[in-house]
Amino acid sequence: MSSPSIQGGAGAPEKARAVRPLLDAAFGFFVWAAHFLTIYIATAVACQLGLGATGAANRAAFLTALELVTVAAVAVVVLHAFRRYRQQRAVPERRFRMSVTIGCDAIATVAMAGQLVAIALVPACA
Amino acid sequence: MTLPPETSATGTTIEPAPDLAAPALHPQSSGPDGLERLRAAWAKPRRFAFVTEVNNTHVGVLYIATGFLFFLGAGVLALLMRIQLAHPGSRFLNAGSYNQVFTMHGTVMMFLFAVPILEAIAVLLLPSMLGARDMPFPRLSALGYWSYAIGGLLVFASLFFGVAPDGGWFMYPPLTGARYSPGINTDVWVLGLGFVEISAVAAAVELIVGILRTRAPGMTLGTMPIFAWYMLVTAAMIMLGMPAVIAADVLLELERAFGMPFYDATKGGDPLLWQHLFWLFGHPEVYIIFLPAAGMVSMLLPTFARTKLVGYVWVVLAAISIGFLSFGLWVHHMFTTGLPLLSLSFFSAASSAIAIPMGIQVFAWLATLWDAKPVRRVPLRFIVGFLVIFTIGGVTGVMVAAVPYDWQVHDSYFVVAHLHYVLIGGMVFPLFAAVYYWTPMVTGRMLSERLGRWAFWLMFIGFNAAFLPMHLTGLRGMPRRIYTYSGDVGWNTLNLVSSVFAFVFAAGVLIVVIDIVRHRRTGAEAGHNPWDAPSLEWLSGLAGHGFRSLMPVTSRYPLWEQKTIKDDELAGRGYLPDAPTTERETLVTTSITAEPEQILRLPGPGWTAFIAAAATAIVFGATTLRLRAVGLVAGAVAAAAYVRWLWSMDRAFPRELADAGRGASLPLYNNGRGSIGRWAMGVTLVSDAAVVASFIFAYLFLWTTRPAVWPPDGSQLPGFRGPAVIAALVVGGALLFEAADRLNQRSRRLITSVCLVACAALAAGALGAGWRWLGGLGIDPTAHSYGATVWTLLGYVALHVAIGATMALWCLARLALGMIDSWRCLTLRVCQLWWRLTAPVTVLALLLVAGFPHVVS
Repeated sequence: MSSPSIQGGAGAPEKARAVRPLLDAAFGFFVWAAHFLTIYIATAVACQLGLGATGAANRAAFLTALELVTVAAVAVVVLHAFRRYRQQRAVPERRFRMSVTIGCDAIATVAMAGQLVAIALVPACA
Repeated sequence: MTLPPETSATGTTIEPAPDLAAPALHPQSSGPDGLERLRAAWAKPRRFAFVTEVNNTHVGVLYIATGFLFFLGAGVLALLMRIQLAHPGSRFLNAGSYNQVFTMHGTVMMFLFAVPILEAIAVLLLPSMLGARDMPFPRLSALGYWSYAIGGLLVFASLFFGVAPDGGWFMYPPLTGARYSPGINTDVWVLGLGFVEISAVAAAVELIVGILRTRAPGMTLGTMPIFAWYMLVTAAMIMLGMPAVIAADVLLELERAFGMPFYDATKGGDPLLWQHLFWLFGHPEVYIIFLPAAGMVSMLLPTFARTKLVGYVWVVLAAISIGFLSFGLWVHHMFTTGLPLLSLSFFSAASSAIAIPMGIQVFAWLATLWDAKPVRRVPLRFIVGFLVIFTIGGVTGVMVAAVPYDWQVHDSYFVVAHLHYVLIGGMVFPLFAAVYYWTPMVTGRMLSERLGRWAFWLMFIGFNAAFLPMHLTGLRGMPRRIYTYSGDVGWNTLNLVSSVFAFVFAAGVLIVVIDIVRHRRTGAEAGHNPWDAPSLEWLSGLAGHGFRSLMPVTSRYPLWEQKTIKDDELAGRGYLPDAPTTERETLVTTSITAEPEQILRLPGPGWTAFIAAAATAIVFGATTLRLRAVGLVAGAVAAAAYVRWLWSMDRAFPRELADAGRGASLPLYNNGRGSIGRWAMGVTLVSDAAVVASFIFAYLFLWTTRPAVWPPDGSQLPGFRGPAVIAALVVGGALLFEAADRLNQRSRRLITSVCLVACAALAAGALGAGWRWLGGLGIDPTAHSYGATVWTLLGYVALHVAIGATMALWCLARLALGMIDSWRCLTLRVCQLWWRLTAPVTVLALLLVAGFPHVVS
């Protein structure tokens, strides 16, 4: 085992990047969190501002917007999983990270897609 | 090996500043002399070790014992409730006492037992599991423990003086507001538990840094013990979840003490704000309790199944997923509060989504057992009990996640049954499995198999017979928290059965207590690894220094798969077989691949943590009891302790690379981004940012309750000039701090000092300008919730700016005394992180307060 350089001890900027891969594994869930907050807050605010009292067309448009946001969020996560698979599948020491990343993306995708059921079935501001 | 003098950016050679206190380095020795030095460095102090020792093996045991005592105390309260409810119209307890008893039962179980004891187990075991000698911040462990123990004791003692909290463990306003709870009962809860919550966050910071930065060399994230994964997720959840309830506590106490109406609907407040903030923490809390227990189950199962855990990666994935998804479920406790149906449906869908990772775990555990020849010892019995009970709790959880069903059973005994199935099944049974499993490592003696089997069956039968009928009691309409009931509503037999079997459950717990007391004298000798377990903690035997030497780890099951690891460890063939600085040390490794990076010197025994915790607890107690003089004196003592502590940090270090064993030489100091001090500060700031986010949420939430007019209190619409000046001053201060760091790198001491002074001056200017601006707007913080939230948010930001100014002056003093130079600059860089949060948070808060009214009006 070789000894680290003085920079390794006193500066070590390359090691600092370790935070990013740690967070990248949970990327799907960060998108899930952003998506969840977006649709929940949008619904709460829209209903509070009187969406329920407006016409059916407005409410339908609102629900369509929520669906589009959900589809976009799902697409981002699926793309992320696909990219990480392509980048990391050939690197044996990254198999664990790749598996966790893709798994997190998959569960986040299911969780977000599940919201589509709620959006499709329940009227806005009822 | 001595490093050459550093070279500055300008090319001039920088002579090292005299480090008079830096210890001399010794070459590593794998022989008896090395072991002697190691033992001397980790020896307990001869006097007052009980309060001054900070080693995890000491603090962890105290922590667990204290948590267990709180469990017993809260259990006795449960029995009192069951006596009261055994018969209709009972007068064993009056309504007021019953309110205190059920509130304290829930509060103590959730805040003083469940979370702390799991953190305690992590503090005790994680360093050994990870192949480290101790947690990275032992004094913080000790502070956390003493804060919890003293604060918890004060809260519990309130029962004996008739001032215990009585508003239910989730303390909903307006019941807990000043009008309906005028006594100090609620203050005891808010201040006492606020203190304990802060200690929980402190422990979480330490766990995160410890898990990510002090693993054994070679122990990658993929080979880390599964318990460490669970604790990492749990600690992150505590960090993000606890701030919400801390913010809610602050708002409630501000309302009670100063009349700032956050929850008072007559002044623009909304009691639902409390529910949102509380459950933002409260629902993840269920998983904060469950995940470490699941981690323990995942550690124990391979030992007793005699095979590896099936689906390690899947289990890790499940733990991470639960950690995130649990934050999307909080409204699941608020289905009856009148929120829009669509919003409820989002949470219902999220509640269903979390069933996926929960299912993954359960199937992984079952598959591990399926694939094996299980050894039927007491810990395995408790695990099987856990699987049965927790699965039933999970099924009723799916039922209450369905909105229409929840409307029917909300606040009934059905929910009481459900939550006890989840918490006792999901946490208490695994905990008892862990007690039987790890006690031999702590005491060197085995607990009794015979008594253990009795305890298990009494607890299992007692639990199910006590809580299964509660589902029916709830479906028959019995509400929670009533102190008695009429005899003609069909609840008599069910309640009697529940009460009788609650005592059967308690008898099981009592047998465990007897066994624990008994085994210290008569328990069989445990030997080195009585279960033939595969994980590293059994190698350490919980000696003070943990390991003779720190071995590289390449397997998830090192004691099964690294055949020579024990011999090599004992022969000192690992890292740090000695104490090169003759002080306590452990290795810092990189966060992903665990390559050795630094030798971390750890603080030894001392009074600071104990005094700081005790004095702070007295401050909280005196504030609750309105004893101003006592509070002031204790505050001064606490402040002195913290100052002394902080001053002792960032010590002088030898600049040489130290021999770390196995041919490696490592630095003893790291002032860069990889330094664990900066990691700890970074993690703390995430938690701090969550508090700010909670206050911002409060402001926006209260706007949604009355969106038509904003500001709603008739105060002046905020202008932009004042906020622009304040923001410019704060951003200027942050830039000056950045400049100070860069200039310090070039050893420009004078101009560095000037920057620090200017930073403090700008911060002071910002505070003055802020006070003037806010005062000029005519916002009364007691007249309306709008003013209350504005003052609170900006007050919290101002606190950051004031602390930032203090940090600048602190660094200035250390610079002047030669305690900061171009190399020894960690203090400066840690404070720099504070400013990096303070500046954007200030700008954001000002934008919100000044800009939002313009947007919505």
